[in-house]
Amino acid sequence: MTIDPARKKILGFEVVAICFLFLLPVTWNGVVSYFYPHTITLDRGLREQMGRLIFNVSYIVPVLFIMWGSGDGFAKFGLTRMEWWKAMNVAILCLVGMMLVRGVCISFLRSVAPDLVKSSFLFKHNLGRIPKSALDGSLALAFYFVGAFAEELILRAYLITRFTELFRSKIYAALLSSALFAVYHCYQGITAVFVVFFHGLLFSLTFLATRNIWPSTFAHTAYNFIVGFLR
Amino acid sequence: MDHLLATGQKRILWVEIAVMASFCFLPELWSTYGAGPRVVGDRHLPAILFLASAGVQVLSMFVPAVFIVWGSGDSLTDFGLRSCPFWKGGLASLGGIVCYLAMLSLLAFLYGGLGATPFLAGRHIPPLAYGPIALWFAFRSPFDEFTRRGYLIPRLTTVFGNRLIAMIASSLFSAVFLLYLGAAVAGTGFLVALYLAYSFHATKSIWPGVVAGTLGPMIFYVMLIAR
Repeated sequence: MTIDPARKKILGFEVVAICFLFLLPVTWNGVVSYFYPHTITLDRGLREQMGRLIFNVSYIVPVLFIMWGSGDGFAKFGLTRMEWWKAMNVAILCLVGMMLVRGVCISFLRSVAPDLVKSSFLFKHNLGRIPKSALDGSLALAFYFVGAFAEELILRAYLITRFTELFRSKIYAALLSSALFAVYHCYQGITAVFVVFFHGLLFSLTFLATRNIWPSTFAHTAYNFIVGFLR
Repeated sequence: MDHLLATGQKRILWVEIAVMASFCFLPELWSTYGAGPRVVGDRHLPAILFLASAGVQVLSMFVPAVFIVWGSGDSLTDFGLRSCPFWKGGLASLGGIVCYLAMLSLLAFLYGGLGATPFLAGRHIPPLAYGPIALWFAFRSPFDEFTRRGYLIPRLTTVFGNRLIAMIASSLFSAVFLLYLGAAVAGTGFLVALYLAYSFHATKSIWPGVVAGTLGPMIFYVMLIAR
């Protein structure tokens, strides 16, 4: 079954527009911050937290609008209701998988290139912090959820669906989406890129298995919360 | 015939305007009021990277905006992405440049000198930085003109059914971005935006506004260096 060339052209333009909207700025930020780590704000005030929330909303709203305008329906992108116990079970499974992947990747890298792991930004700085007030904590939690939702919406729900249609291969779609996901985390160091790539594959697998965005979003939120707050 | 639009169609246009605002205007407005930029823009970055960051930020909004407008089924030429007669465009651009310079002079008069205006007071800009700043305006202008005039005026005209109200609303909206610099700057910004809205209406093209929005501030900075 081949894709109609006219539709392929439109989908290509659509993917490019979404990549410009989200991937271009975040990848640019990641690369610049890798070479100039002072640009990373570690101690964020309320205004910065709100700003990050707004920036994420500015990615989510147009992507939802473009999905809706494409006429394919939200269900095609995995934006459907799911029984909460089922979603939670899959999310917990995914989270356990993420922790395992993190442990295995870091152990492997430590044995192969210990200096690389030691010098990694991820281990020198804590990207999360203890909240200063209830409002600060709530905003941070909201940010973790909205941030995870934005990434899952764009990289899994949207890109995997579109790449599968364009390349006719779920494997290519999952690999490409995970690679794009990993690249913009380069500001956290090479170790993180390695870990995040496998996390991306795990999220892709979860999304493809359930055809639903919520399990990977919950797992992603919980993981960010754990490495941010509880580390 | 615009006012004959069905309620459902109007609602869709309002949703589209809200979506455009959510990624073209809201983050920028938030950044302007001190929450930091969406794209890394630290002052200690090398000038070339700072400039490239600005370009990335503009592209990240411009390309999806064009896609959404194109996807609406309306022709992009209806939103000012078209050429206009050279003499007409040139005249409108010239008017825009004069308008910019007149408003800046008015501001200088109000604040008692250019150096005392809110966007320059207490800031030391090394002469070498003027080049990147001027280039920044060249980057920005097409995006600003497309979103604030090219897109907003035809859309607001359709939903309000009145071009004048649309032009005033779009100009007020442009002025809001300058409010953090004080009422005088926002007021003059409003007048410049009103002129640019009129020039868009007269030429049906965003390019005179782009030329004025690039050359006006550039000439201003050249004047600053000469001073």
